[in-house]
Amino acid sequence: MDDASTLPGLVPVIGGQLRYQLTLLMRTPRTLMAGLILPGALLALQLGRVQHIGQGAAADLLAARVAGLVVLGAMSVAYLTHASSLIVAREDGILRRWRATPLPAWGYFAGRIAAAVLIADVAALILVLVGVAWRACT
Amino acid sequence: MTAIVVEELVKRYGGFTAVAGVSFTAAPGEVTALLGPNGAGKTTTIEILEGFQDPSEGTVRVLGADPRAGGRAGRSWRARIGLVLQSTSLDAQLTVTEALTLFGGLYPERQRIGEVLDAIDMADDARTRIGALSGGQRRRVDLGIAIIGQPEMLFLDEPTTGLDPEARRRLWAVIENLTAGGTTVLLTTHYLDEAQRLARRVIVLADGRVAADASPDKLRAMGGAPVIRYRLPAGAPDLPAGLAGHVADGELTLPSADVTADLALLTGWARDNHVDLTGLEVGPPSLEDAYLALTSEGALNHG
Repeated sequence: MDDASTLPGLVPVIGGQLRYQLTLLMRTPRTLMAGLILPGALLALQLGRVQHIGQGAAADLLAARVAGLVVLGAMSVAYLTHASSLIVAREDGILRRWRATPLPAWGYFAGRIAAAVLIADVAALILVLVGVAWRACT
Repeated sequence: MTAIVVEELVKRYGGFTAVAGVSFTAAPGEVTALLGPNGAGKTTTIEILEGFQDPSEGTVRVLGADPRAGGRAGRSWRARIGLVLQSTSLDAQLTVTEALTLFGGLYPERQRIGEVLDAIDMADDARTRIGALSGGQRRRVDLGIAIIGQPEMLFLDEPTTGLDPEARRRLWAVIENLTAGGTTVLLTTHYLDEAQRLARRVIVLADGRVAADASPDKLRAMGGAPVIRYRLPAGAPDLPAGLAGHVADGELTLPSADVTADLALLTGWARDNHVDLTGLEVGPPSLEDAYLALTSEGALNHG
C-alpha cells in the first residue's frame, strides 16, 4: 500500500495544474480574444481619439483608458475561466474525473486561479506597454 | 484481503429506494461483473464504491478503506484505484500524451507513458488532440488514464457502451492484460458476451437487490433446461408439431426437458425431408437466456 507521504507534494501538484490550465486557456481562442484582442482593439480605437487632445489631457485620458481596458481584459479572462468554463467542465464530467484521482480539490482550483491571474497579468502588461510606447512616440 | 466488501447496502433518494440491501464481496485479482437492467442499482452501487455517493445504510469497504475518507488518507486510497466513468470526460484540447502525463503526475507510482500508450494501442495517436479522436479511441485514453497510476482496483462503468465490435474487442484485450497482472476489476455492462468473456463472477442486480451471484457458467445453468438451437435452412418444410411452436425468425430455440427425445424428433424430421442439420447446437441456456430468466418480472416477484 502506498504511504500518504509518497504522494506528490504541493509544488508539483500546483505546477502541473498551472501548466494544464494554461494549455487549455492558450488553446481556447475565445480566451485570447476576450482577454487580449478585444481590449487591444478597443485601445487602438481610443488611441485615434486621444491624438486630437492636448498633451497633458491626452496622457491622463490614455492612462485612464489603458487602466479600464486592463480591468476589462482581467474580467473577461476571469469570467471565461471560472464562471463559464468551470460550469462546462462540471457538465462534461471533467470535474468528476479529477475527483477520482488523488488530486486535492484545492489543487485544481489553485491551478485555475493561478492560470487566470497569469494570463490577465500578461494581457495587462501588453496593453500598458502599447500605451507607453504610443505615448513615447507622440 | 478481500478487495471489495459490501454489506447490506441501502441507498434512498427521498422516498425512492435505488439499492435495497445489497451484499457481496470481490476477491483480489478477479473481474467481477455487475449486471442488471436500467434502474437496477448498478451505477448507484458503483458510485458508492467509488466514493462519489454516501450509502443511506450498510457498510462498504474497498481495499480495506472507507471510500468516503477525506484528507491525505483519502488521497492515498484514490492513488490505489482507477476509474473509467460511464461517459468519457476528457479535455478535448489536450493531446493523448499530455493527458497521460498530467494525470500520471498525481500518483506515487506510475507507468511509463510509452507503456500505457502501447497497452491501450494508442502509440500512433500519442500527439493527437483528444477532441480529434473517435469515440473508441477516447474510451481507450480514458482507460489509459485509469491505469497510469498502476491501480490495485479498477472500476469500469459500462466501458464499451457505444463502441463498434472491433473497438470493444481491443478494449477487452487491454482489460485481460491488466487482470493477468493482478488488477482487481469491477465491471458494469449491458453486454452479456462481455461479462461472459471477461468476468470470473457475475452479480445480477434487479430492483436494487442481488438476483444472482455466480460464475458465468453457473449462471447459465441457473437459466433452466438445456436448449436445442437450430437455424432452419431457407425453404425447409414445416417442423413436427412438438417443435414448430419454438421457431422464431427462422430459428428453432427449444428449452428441452428431454433432449434425447426432442433430438430424435428433429433428426427424424431431417432424415425424412433430406434437410442438412449443420449448425445444430445443444447446450445450456446462454447467459442472455439466464439473465432474462433472472430479471423477468415473474422471477423477481417470486424471488
